[in-house]
Amino acid sequence: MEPKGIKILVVDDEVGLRDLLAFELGGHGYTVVTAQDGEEAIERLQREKFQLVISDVKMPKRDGMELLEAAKRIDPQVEVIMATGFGTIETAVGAMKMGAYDFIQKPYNMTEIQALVEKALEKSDLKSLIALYESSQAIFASLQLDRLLPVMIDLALKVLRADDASLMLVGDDGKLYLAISSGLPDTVQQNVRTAIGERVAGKVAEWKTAVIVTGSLKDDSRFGGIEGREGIRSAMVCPLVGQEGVLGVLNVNRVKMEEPYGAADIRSAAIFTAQIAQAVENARLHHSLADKIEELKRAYAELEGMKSQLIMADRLASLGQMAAGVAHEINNPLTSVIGYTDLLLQSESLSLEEREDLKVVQTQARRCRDIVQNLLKFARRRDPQKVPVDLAEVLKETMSLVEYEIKSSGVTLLLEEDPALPPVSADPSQLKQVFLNLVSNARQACEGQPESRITLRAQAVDGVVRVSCEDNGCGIAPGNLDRIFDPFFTTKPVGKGTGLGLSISYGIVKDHGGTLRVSSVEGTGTTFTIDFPFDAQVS
Amino acid sequence: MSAQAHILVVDDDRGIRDFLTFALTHHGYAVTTAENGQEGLQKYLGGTFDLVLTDIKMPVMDGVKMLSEIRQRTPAQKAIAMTGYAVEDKLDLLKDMNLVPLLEKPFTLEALLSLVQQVITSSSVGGEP
Repeated sequence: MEPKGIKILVVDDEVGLRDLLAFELGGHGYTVVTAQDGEEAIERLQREKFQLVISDVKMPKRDGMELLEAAKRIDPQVEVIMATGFGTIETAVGAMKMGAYDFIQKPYNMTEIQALVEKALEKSDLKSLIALYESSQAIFASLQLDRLLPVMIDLALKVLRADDASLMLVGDDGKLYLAISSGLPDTVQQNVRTAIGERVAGKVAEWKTAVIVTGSLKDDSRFGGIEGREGIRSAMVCPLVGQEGVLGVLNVNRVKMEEPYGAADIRSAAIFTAQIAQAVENARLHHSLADKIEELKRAYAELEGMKSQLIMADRLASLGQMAAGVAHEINNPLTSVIGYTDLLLQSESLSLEEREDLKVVQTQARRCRDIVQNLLKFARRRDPQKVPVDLAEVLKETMSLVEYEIKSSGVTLLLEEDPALPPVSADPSQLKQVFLNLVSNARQACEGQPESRITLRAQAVDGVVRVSCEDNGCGIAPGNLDRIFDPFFTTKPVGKGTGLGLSISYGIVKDHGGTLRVSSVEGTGTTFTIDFPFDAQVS
Repeated sequence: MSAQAHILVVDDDRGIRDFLTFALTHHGYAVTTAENGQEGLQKYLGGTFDLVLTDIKMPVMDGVKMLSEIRQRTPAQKAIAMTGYAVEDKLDLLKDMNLVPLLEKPFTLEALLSLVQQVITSSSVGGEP
């Protein structure tokens, strides 16, 4: 290590010895500062950076041991050599244990001192490199920026020996924002965004060169009269340069410490900020990677959803075929049952009782017919006759069909519509059938529930037109949720439903290229959501 | 209608044939039955019918084929097609060969009688003058 730029603090209460050491070491090119006791030395250490302290042990006010302890606390990188007179070897050993580099015995042997100083300084240099290495290790240990920032700012204070520090990063808007700071006075505005080229940070980001400002910023010709913060003795502003440009700016200030930043600090800062820049870049890379992974996960879930929709569609198709076959088989005998019953009822020779009984046969046979017709409706889905449709209009028409029935059962029916709903290509009568089915299910779910409410919504979201039907009714038991679209699955009492409504609705929505989903919490309510693809060609 | 109207009933389901025979006879119509399109066509050629009441889906020859054969010979022949299972393309064929009213199974006696009455007393077939 070159003696130039190396500062040594010599502490001794004997002025002669002090001066001797100062003279000797100064002659070798070191900068030497002297102090006459521990207290004065500690004060100096708090203000300035020293690489080495050579101190007497026995001194008035605070002795060498106290100084050693304080010095290591103030700057863990500083090396301390203790000087002892005869008979205080035990003290010297204690000092070594406390972190002193070595000890020398008085009276000083100048050759010995010179060699020791050089060795101590080498160690000090190595130590600061190790510190830097360790700091970068710490920085790289985490990939999450919010965890990294406190580590970075903490290290900046220590490594660059600053009273306060702030780290600004370039945000999405291309401007610098304060990512983290430490030790800043409350008067500093923290939520300001600085454009590249503006103020000191912006200019440093633009120049991509670290600068040192010592004294008043206003008098610094490089910054053309920018008003700076009061009370900063010396400041260093360093750019964080990543592979694709400036990532941010690190600003360290010395307020209490008197020693101004110098060329050596710029070099340290360059190493340090390169590490920070790398870490920020890694964190961002990791972040975008995490985003990508999330995106993939979503795509996968979507694919899974599509798969289950396909399976469902397939299941519906085969069940539909079976249903149609059964319906066909039943239709002929049912025609005879209904027909003969009707014929018998025309007879005038029936007793009252016979007539009553036949009426029951007639009613039940017609119920069979309704069930079969529903089955056929399900199986015999025609292709939708698509025209451009305003879904809100279809919802309103549906509402007008059921409004009376719903109101009279004490349920509130609401419509929330997006005013700028794009038209979709759809078969309005089929959609009406779907909406009618959803609303009628919702109404049944609301039966006997206080303050029940059905809300229909039509809105444009994420490139689809979304219609939802939300009720605060009884909800669907979790075990039933994945069966509700199955044909013939019903939880309604006998005669109240065929279990085909949702299957038919599902099929119709699918024929429109849409999706029908359900979410429900038992006891809280149910929401059915239909997404229709928004067809850009529809005008 | 002065004379008894004559109806050709074609259906492969015996229950339906029996019921239709019983019900239509009971309401004053004369009924001839056939159990598939081919037999229906033979019986049609051997007589004069005010109305052909036929099922669509049948073995040997289906109702649509039979009706188109009949219409080739007698374009104004009145007919009603019964369906228990709408086969879309067949229905489209029916449309093509001039409107044939559809009676969906299962139907009520009332629906049957009123449609039969309506078709027999109508002055034209489908949209024809």
